[in-house]
Amino acid sequence: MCMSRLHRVVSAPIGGWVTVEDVEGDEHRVSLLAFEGSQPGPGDWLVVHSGYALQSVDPAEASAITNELRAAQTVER
Amino acid sequence: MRNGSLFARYAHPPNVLGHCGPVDPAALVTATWGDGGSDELALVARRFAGVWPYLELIAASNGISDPLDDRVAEAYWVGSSLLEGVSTSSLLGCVRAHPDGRLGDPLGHSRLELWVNAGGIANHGFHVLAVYPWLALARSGRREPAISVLERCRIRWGRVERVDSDDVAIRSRRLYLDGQRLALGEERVEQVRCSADDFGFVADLEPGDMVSLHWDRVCDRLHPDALANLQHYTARSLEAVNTEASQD
Repeated sequence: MCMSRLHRVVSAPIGGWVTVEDVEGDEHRVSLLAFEGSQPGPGDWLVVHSGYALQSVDPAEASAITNELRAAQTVER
Repeated sequence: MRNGSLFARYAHPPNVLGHCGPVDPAALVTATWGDGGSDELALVARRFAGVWPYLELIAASNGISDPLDDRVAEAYWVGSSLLEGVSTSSLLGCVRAHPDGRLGDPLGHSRLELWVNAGGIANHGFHVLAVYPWLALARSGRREPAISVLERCRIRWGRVERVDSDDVAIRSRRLYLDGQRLALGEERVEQVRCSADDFGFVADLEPGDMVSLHWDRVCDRLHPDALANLQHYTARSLEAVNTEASQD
């Protein structure tokens, strides 16, 4: 089951693809085919689902969400 | 076959693609079919954070102690009468608290509560259609890759036409948008694979076999009751998420 995840852009997009880093530090290459908005750049936070970046997220909101998700994961473990 | 194997055979294809679960797909395989016990598998299964809340909900709603019980996994992935034991209010609570709900609706177009009340179920197919962002994206005009992702991510069925080693030709019905209404189209033949990451679940496939698919991988050979359930709950999920389209 695929989940929507927050990823931070690591490097500038190339050819419709961008390298991102998840909250655990693992890097992934995701497609910008479904992305709407201005092209993301390094440091931007993106919502990624099923290998596709969907939209940018405000850094403050990204921080709040990642804290929330980490807290939930801590409770689960 | 011990509890957990049915969960794993459907969880494995997206895990190999990196869409969910532990980074290393071997963790699921080892925990399920290796020497590890049920506790090890439960730890791995919890890392499929999108699935686990539903397994817990279906189990608790039906008096089953183990969320990885194969009856629970079958209800979640394929559909079964256990879904009827889940109340609408508890399903609504589950989807509202679900991690996907926090990030899953970038366009704000979801009509989740309406769809749950219109016959939504604690099932993977309904979650894919109702909670994920892809249907809203498709309806907003961004049909691709939205429809393709919905197609691959839902559990679907197909009839085996030909088998060539790991490549399998399947006859199946694919999703399409008729205006704002999501529906199953005419049957067509497509190529899928029998294994993911060199790990397969169904041996000795033959033309005429009915199989289930997840992310274009064959997950199981469907007996007639399971096929009927998958078709029934798929139709019910489509009907639920088309409620909005019918009212527009």
